[in-house]
Amino acid sequence: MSEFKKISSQDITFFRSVVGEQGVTTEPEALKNYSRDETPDPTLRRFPEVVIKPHETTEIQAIMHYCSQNTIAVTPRGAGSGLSGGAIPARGGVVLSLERMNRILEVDHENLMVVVEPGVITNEINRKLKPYHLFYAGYPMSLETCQIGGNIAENAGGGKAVKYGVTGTYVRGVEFVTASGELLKFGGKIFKDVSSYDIVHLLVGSEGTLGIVTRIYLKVLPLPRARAVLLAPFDDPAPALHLPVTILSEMGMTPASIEYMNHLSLEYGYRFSNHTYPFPEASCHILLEIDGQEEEVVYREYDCLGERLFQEGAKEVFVADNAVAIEDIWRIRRAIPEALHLALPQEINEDISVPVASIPELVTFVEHLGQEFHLISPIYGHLGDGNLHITLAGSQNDQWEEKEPLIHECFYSKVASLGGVLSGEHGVGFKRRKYLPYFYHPEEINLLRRLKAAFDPQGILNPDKVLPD
Amino acid sequence: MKIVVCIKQVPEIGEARINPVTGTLDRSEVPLTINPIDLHALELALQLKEQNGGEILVISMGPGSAEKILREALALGCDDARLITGKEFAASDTYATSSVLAGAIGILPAVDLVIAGEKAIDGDTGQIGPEVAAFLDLPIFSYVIDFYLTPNGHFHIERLTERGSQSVEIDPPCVVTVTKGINVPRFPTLHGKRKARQKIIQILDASSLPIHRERIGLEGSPTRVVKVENVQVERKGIILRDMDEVEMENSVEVLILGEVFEGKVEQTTFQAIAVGQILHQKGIRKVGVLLGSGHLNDGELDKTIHYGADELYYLENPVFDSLAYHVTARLILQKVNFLRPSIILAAATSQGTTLMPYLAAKLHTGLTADCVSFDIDPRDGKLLQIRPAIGGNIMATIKTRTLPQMATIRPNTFLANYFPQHLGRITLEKDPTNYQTGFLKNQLRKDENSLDLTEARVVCSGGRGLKNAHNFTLVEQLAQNLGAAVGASRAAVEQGWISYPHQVGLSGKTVSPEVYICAGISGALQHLAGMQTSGSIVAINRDPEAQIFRVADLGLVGDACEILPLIIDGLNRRKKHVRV
Repeated sequence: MSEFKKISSQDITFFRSVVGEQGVTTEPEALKNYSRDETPDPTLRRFPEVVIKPHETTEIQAIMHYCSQNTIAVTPRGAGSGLSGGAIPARGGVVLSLERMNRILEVDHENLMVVVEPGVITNEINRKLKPYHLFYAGYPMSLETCQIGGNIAENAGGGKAVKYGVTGTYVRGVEFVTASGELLKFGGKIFKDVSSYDIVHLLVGSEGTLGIVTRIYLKVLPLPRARAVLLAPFDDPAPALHLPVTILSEMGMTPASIEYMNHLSLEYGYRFSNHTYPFPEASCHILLEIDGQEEEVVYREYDCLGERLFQEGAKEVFVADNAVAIEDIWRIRRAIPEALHLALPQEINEDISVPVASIPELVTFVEHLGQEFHLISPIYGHLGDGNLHITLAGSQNDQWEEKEPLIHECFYSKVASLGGVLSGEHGVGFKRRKYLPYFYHPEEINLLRRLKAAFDPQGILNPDKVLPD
Repeated sequence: MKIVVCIKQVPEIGEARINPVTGTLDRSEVPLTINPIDLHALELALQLKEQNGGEILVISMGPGSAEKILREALALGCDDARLITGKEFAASDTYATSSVLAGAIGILPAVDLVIAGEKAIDGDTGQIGPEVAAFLDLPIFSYVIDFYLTPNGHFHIERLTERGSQSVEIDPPCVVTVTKGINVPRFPTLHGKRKARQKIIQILDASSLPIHRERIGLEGSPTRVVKVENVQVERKGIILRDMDEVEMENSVEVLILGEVFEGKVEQTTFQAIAVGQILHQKGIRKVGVLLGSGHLNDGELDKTIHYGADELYYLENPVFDSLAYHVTARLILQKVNFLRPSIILAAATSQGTTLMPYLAAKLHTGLTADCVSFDIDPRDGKLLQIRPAIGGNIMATIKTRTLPQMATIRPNTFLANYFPQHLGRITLEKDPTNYQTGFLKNQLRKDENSLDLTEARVVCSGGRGLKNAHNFTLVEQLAQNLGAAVGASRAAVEQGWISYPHQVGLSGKTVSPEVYICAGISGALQHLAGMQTSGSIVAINRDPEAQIFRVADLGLVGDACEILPLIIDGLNRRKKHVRV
């Protein structure tokens, strides 16, 4: 494990000379805000020694050059809304908060590209694009808080990945500052690129361990003019969980979203949001979103999908095709994660991703696991892309510490045996790095280590993340 | 039961744009949807039909695209829909719109109930319901929070007022406007959607309705937006219903309709009189005030004079306390026809926003809702009525072409001024008549617990920076600790963390407490405009460059979610200390 230099008053003086008085904070109360992200686990808290908020790329270069010369740990940070502890300064040192790098530099509607800085709130991009009838389709669920830089760090997914893919689908180019302070650029306003190794998509999802992204080229799409959301309660979860196969493979249709919420997850969501879906007693609810350029086409699609939902056992099919009703349905779905964090502080909050056809088997397994270990297990999430959020919380707190490693082992072994992965969209970060060996052979982890060393030989960029000790 | 529901197509929240040429809403290129509160009006109708049987007709006036919201209503279970559309209706104000809607409802046989949403999110006036009631000569109940049919076939209606609530039993028919709290709207089903596509929506134009052509559209609208932002618009100054200048000489020029609660004149009335005095300084000769009540405490009349009334008319009759606006409107109309004021103003309270549109429709004149500023046009002596429009993002100046010129005043925007030396004339009329309200029961309940945001001495507000509904409860805890009222920014209300009545800002309430504490509010102009007259402002925000710090007396830079628990904890400890 590398040793990092503690921050001295000399270092602070240097940082102030680069970004100004206002851009450097050492106040303990202010540092506290940067000691955590949205991961509920209270053991995942580490204080930085200093928070630096640069305005310009050149400032980041100067800071990185200085930190590499002095072996100071640097943890880049977006909005802090992550769920894997990726932005937590595990080894103290510098938190490089990119919140002031929040300029939308260019909307190039001819090339369908937008150029942004990492601190832009992701939803701001869509607000800016709306008058051009364009949209950025890679946005995740925490609409009003998360920043595009953080989305790139975690290759965030979200609710529309079935049709639109994830953040990385839209990142066509990045400029980034290396651990030693050089500014590099790969990709740009282009759709196709095999002119070298795909460095752009190596940076996407690298959780701030390979470089600090300072400029992003995003592909944008024409804004769909028509949207509709179907909500269907089911008594039997089996056909509901099989819907990705039914819809995507058998019917050959591609809705934007296929979301699943089991009864228990919704109970928490209802309490938190003060709203309830019809048929609250159903064993699960399915949410489908369909979008397109023409209302008639969207109508035909949802009519066809709705009919199939009835055949699969839906008790009713509700339709929302105006903004008010669509938001009313999504609001409860979006409330679930926060509701669970608050209600179940001692929890295993999973973000696994499995082949869609294996979902029914996985959910059955979780039910058995729950019975065996007396767990409360709300399940919800992105059914259509195999990325379910599974929460495993102890109903008897006393033996939780003993049981937890065993539960994790059972769970991850099952996910791995189904061909699944550790994290679909939240990232490995601080929280999951010790579980990587469940999913990779030692040789594979070795390759990851050599890759990290190629970018950051001293290991100063976001230390103690992604890779196990 | 035959129910008519009036619904409106509006731009999606935050999407509205104003046409700089006509000063009216630009509906092209903006995604349109059903006015959200109208979904609650439809839900009430559907529940009444499910419980008691009957038939629901839904009507809307608007462009051809409004057919979509009518189909949505049909999908929800309404039986029939009519769209009133045509170029001749374009740019109608609330008076013209109400007269058309009332015309369309008036020709239907035996309507028991007309339901509308409290207000539309775009126009934000809340005038259509009361004006339709006035045109149909029906009782009006605004801000309805509960409604059902009693076993005896009466309507049981509960409505909200600033001071609590009123529950009334009455025989059909009547008009109600509902608030969001009345119910939870249902979602349409796939089968409902399919059925709705098959139905034929009857299209009505001006020729198919018994309406006066000169009362519709832009030409028929007594009010005109004359200025939006800095854009000046040419105006055709045609007066539809002229008043005799000579007759006006002998009367008051501005008449304030006051409010009395439990024998005391309301503070909002004194604020309205202050507006009268501002206009007096701009050349309006006399400020008249009309109060109606069953009883008035000693000294209240003198006090009202000292707040600036030149002519004070007090009508004493218990019917005023019943809040039966369809009856009290008649008594006020008699007085107005006698006094012939050129301007009538009232505070935009639950009473003002119900009674004034009712009166305006009866007087065939325009009404501007919720004004925050007034002026007199030096060219023609007309009243310039200035109000926020489109979610508070712009200011619109409105002129009324007809007489009297009527407007409601947003409470707490103007300071009431006490002039101990002010002299005025008091005219007392005790009216012994026992007026029939048609109310079979009428109960007014005072809610001591509901701390009125606009009158609280301390207000604690929260905004987007609190991140979620759970963190927002910190603001509520702090408020409870301080005996303060809870406010919120528009963002917090839009996220559903707290209900709309708590919204502070141009599109919500204007407050002026002694202390205003705001947590996680960045200080958008639209919010600042609603609280900047507060005594002391304490702001908590993460961003040291947030605009809120420009108006704050005390600023705390940091995460509100971390700071608020510390403050609450500190207050709790101090309390324990005091007890020991």
